[in-house]
Amino acid sequence: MELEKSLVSGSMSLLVLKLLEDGDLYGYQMISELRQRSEDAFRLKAGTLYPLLHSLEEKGLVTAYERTAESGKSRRYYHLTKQGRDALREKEGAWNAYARAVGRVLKGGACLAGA
Amino acid sequence: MPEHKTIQAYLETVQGQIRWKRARPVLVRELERHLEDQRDDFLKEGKSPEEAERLAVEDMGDPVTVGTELDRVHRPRPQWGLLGLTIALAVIGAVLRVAFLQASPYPSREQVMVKALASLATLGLGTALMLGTYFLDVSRLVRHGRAVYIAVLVLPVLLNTVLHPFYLTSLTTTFYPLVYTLWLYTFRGRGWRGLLLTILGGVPLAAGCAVVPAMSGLSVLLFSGLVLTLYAAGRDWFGIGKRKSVVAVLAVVLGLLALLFFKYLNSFLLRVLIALRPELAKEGPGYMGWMLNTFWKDVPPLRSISGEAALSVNAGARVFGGGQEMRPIDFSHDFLPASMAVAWGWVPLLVLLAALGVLLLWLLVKGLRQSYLPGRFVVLAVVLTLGLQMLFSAALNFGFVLFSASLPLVVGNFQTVVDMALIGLALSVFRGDSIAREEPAGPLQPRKCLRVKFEYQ
Repeated sequence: MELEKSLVSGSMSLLVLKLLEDGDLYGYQMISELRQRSEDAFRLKAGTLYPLLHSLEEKGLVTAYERTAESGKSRRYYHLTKQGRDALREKEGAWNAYARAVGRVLKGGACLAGA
Repeated sequence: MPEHKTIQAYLETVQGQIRWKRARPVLVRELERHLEDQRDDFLKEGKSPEEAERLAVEDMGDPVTVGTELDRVHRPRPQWGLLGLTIALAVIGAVLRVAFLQASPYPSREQVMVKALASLATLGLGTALMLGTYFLDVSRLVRHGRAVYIAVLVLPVLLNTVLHPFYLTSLTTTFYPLVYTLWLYTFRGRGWRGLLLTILGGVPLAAGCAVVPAMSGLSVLLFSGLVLTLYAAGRDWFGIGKRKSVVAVLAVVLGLLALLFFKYLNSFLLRVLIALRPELAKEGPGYMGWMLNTFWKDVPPLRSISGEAALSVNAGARVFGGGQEMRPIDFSHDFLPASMAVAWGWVPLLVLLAALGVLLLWLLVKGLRQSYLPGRFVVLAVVLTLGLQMLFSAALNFGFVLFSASLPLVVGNFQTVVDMALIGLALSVFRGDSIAREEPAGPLQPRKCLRVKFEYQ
């Protein structure tokens, strides 16, 4: 299922922060993980991801560190900070409230019809 | 994007959008690794090398947009406020020195002119050096930590043949805490041997201070070295556990200090005793402390009489009997703070010390917030150096005479130049904050550039 771009872009930082909740990842892993978890709905472009990650780093929501992988290549891993965790909780809350509101409106027609 | 078929061409276009030159290679490295991963995955799917590369590049998105976005996030962060405050303090120092000379009894016009010109030259040189270190890439300094260590240790010895040895080497000791930090940084994750070599690296520096002899430099080095090593140990720098590292550092450093003090215990205790009760030896080594204590009794919060009257009437009269126009101490270098209090009262001196304190505190708070660890260490070393200098200078001027010490930045001459260079370096850490990248943890990759192998292989 392909989603409309505008639906995805606004919530991208929420998704990226959520991915990092379970552990540190580097960019390439994030894209694959997002694709898997969304069952191919979110195909995030790397060109969008890195500037986003860097701006999250500027805001202090994530930190990054270099680590040499087993292959011998070094990778830049991102880690969710405490501030990032708080921001994630807030964004999740806002998203859920929004989703519920949309859900209610979508259901609303049926309710009225039944009244 | 038919024109960007290869990774190299793609990255060049991205780089072209990033205005901060120093940021380019740093930012592009991450994209390059990503593109290579993506290409390798396409290769595994059975694509041809050319196609795999083309697809990887297409997958990443428009290079101009990517570059522009990165450019927006990564900009140098100018530190004009702190640069301004540093220069302002140095200017205040210069003005004070000229003002005091003018106020002293019978200065010749030439003397005042020479002092004014020297102060101006100091300011100019200091500002130039500060801007030089401000635009320096600290990561390079960190990468060549051991080479810098050797250079700072050896250079004065070589230069001694042409320049005045004492003055030069005593100035060099101001850099020792920083150099020790760079040395310390190279032993990250190197276990017990790393810890021991780190501390041993401090020994030649301490010996250098003792040879000069620069007691103030030695004390600054010992205190700041201990704090920096403990700070590193507390972060499990050497990879042997936090508690073990801290205990080991304390044991080794205190052991070394105990050895040192055991040897010089008597003279050390005598010095401390005289510093605390200078009147007991006012005819000898306690003279300076006793005199300072005496004239502090006469210093009001604020005073309006200036210069000559204050300098001669106040302390001179008290110490040498009324009517004698005699300056009891050298009112320029080390005793600049005391002479300021003599001329204008202790409130202006307190304001000056507070301004210096604010600058250092500001640097410290900003430094400790750094996520870039080498940067944090560099700032910590600079703040400790200048902070301890200030503390020792204050102690000296308030009559606790243990060793000579100059008030950083304000003192003038080459000490100010060196202090400004150090502050510039700390500010360069903040300036390059958004692209500061640490070396990868784990096996270090061989480098093409200068690598010094000298110590333990």
